[in-house]
Amino acid sequence: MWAPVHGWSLLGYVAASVAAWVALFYILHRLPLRHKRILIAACTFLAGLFYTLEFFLPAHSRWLFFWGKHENPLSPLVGPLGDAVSVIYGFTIALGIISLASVHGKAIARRRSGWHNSVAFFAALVSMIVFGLWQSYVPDDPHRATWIFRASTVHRIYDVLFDGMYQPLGATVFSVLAFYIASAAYRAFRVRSGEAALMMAAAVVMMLSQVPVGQWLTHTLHGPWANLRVEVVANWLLTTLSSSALTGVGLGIAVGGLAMALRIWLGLERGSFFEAGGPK
Amino acid sequence: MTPVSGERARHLIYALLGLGTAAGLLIHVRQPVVVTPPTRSLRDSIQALPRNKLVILSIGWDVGTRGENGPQTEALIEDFFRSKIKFAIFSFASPPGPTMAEQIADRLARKHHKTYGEDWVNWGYRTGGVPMLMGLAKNIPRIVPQDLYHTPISKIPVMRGIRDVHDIAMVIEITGSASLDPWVGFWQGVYGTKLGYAPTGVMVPEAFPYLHAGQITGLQKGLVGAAEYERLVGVRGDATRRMTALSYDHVLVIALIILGNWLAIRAARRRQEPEGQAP
Repeated sequence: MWAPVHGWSLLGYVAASVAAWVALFYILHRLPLRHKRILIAACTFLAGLFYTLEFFLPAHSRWLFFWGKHENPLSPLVGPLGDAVSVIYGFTIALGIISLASVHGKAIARRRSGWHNSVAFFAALVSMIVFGLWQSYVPDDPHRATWIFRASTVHRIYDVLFDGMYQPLGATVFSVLAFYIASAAYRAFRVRSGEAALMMAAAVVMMLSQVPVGQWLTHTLHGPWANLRVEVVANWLLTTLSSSALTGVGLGIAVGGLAMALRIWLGLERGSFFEAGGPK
Repeated sequence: MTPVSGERARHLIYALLGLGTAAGLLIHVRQPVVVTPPTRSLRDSIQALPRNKLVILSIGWDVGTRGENGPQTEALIEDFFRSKIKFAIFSFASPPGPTMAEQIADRLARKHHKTYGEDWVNWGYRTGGVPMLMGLAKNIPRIVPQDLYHTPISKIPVMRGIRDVHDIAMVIEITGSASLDPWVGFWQGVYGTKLGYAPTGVMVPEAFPYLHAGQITGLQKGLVGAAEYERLVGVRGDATRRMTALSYDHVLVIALIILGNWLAIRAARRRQEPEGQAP
């Protein structure tokens, strides 16, 4: 049932799936809010139940799964459900693009301040989608013509967009953080109390331990004094003090996450979708 | 000495940082790199891997953290090529990640005379998060039917005999975001798969509880971890070359903290002085 299909069968399956989804969305759209609530809560509960049972039930058990090969019957469904989740994730990307296009489209139509940035957004979006897909599907033969350009030209345009523009622009945006951090270190890191002094001392040790020049500063310490080398002190801070504290924090977050997950799974968490601000 | 005004101080700091970093990247001062236990542990666990299985190099980074994660990836791929370890580049967290890691693998492959498809494969980016990873553990060809170049997985030599999690020797997550947990929860925790971790420097403290618990077998601590790894492999790569700039930046930040505090203390004393002198 879950075997991949090819050729015309694949097209048939895709067409049927699209039709089914359109029908489903139409029905969902027409349903009153009360029924939507029940449907969403039921789907959430079933999805949670599936993964919980699949995870906690043993892979093999003669007693629980007394038929066939005594294997967990839910396990073979993990793959197909993973595919389904990937498709749903794909929808979320499309939703994001639609949302961005709507915001920037309105900005251009109404000539809001900075509307030229929205034009840049559309130019970047369209060119990356077009040339990204195009270069991905053209053959490697550089002299072979593909529609307007030769394959080599398509690859070159994509390289200019990805290596020449996307990568340096992204790196630049992130690199600006370094300037803010350096500036903040000068302005904000003030020793106003004993705790702040301790924190600063730990920060200085950690920063020195992360670079060779810091390790070089204490490399002459030998024997029992070697325990005072920057990298040794930093390792002790990380493995003993910081690790213990972070484990405690992590445990608290995990327990909170579990409680939150249970609330969502059992439909107790309402959120904005079901409240007054949500869809009617 | 009059304290530098806010705006001018900021510009001075930016200039010191920008020019110093640029100079550090151009001028390489050889510095001793001390190999720390987490990096050594990662290398040892990689060297102990069986050669008939595949290593997944999970790329959770993109251009924003390329400065650190790029050299980490480079050091690991260098080691894989030298040690004849076959690997798969893959990502569930960063769409451009596999393309960027492929550029590094391509460059190093030319140096080591390695061939795509025989020595490594690129599975590309897959959406689906945790459910997808759960499915990947049970049936790799199902979740990854073709590689980055649309070649069916069944036709790629390095993928011969690779069916599920049991054919994977280790997963190494190289990341600038919190993308380790799914591997810990659904691969290491369930199947006992070996995990390695190469986060950016700021994420290192969060990694130590995993190392303590034995959930990850080793750690590359940001850029300096990559430099340590390069030392273990015996190569002077990007990470080692960037140590001069990194050393300068860290020393500059420490100096700025000290200077800022000294100026703040001096200003506070000055404010107190007239009050103390008043009758």
